[in-house]
Amino acid sequence: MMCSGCMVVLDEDDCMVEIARYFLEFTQRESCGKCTFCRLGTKQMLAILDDITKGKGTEADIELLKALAEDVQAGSLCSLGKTAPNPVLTTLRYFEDEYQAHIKEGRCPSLMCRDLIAYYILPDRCERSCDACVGTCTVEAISPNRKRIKVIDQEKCVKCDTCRVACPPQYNAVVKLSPPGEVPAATK
Amino acid sequence: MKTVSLTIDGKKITAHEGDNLLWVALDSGIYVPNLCAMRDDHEPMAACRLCFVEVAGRPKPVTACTESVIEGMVVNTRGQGALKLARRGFELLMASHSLDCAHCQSNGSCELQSIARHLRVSLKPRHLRKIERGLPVDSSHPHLVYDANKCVLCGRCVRVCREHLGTGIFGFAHRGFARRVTTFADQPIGAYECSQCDACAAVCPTGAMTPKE
Repeated sequence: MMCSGCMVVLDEDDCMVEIARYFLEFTQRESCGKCTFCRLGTKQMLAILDDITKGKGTEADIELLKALAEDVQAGSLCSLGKTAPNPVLTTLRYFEDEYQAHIKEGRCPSLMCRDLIAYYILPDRCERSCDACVGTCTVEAISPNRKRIKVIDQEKCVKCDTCRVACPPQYNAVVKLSPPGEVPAATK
Repeated sequence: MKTVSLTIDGKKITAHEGDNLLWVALDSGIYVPNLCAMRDDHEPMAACRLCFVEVAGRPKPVTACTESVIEGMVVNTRGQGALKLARRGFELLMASHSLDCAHCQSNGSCELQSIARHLRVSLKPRHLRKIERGLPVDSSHPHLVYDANKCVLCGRCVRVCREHLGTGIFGFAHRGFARRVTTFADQPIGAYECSQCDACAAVCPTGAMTPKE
């Protein structure tokens, strides 16, 4: 169930695992809780998807997720439960490679899953005289180095995205990298 | 009332037309796992999703409690498709059931234990994560102890209290995973005047509602 007769448009910046998790979280919350499959099956599926989006998924999780989704579809009492696994089943059918990237490489191809990305300021694009990101950072994680190139302290960063939005379009120096290990060692 | 004949697991059975398939099977000595069904229900609760059977001519397994018997019906209670769903349903219940048989009053008489034997599965979930509910145990009533963490939400206590005794101490509250059997305004059971008939403990299939020792 995604909605009643409406259309959701997604692009390459939308992670299909996160989209499946988001819709399942919605149906899981909406479930009345009367029947076993909808009440507990969607809860189990959500726990698996939560793990995958956090990079803690395993190969066996995909098989279990698929089996659970089919059983919840077949076993639920009403149509909410019968359709709740649809986003999971269709994303698994068409975008299994994205699930695999999360599990095997700890990488979110759409750079959407917060636990699998890191923010990084490209030193050759950062402008020495600009302080836009430093001012907007909500947790004071950005500071200039000796050359006045801004550097993000990965320990402090909460991945709120405000620095990437604040960085003026002519520089576009803030990028998201996945897996987080892609960030080069800081040069302070 | 018209009499019909049907076949369950190869056994020829006669029943009244319109009788509930689950009870026809159980009365003929054919066990079908069930938790939420009660004999004098006006309509099936169909919440536990364990009584899946295969009916010839139907593409998918159906719950026996929602089927009425018809002439010539051929039912298979041991079909692989039906057993697969029943096992999954049971595993889901057990994954959120506070499993402590050794210290549970219902040990030995628990319907979950007999269903596990019938389905040939373990009581501990094999594939699923244990997701505990972490609800408090209510022992405020002079005769009863209610441990919501062992409840499978079959609703037998709710119906026996409301429909058969006319008291209605219990009801369902909250949605989804948070759904639970509780009293009005979530008060301790002891805060309500009840006839102390202990019918709720008698119908509880698990150790969720037990008489005080």
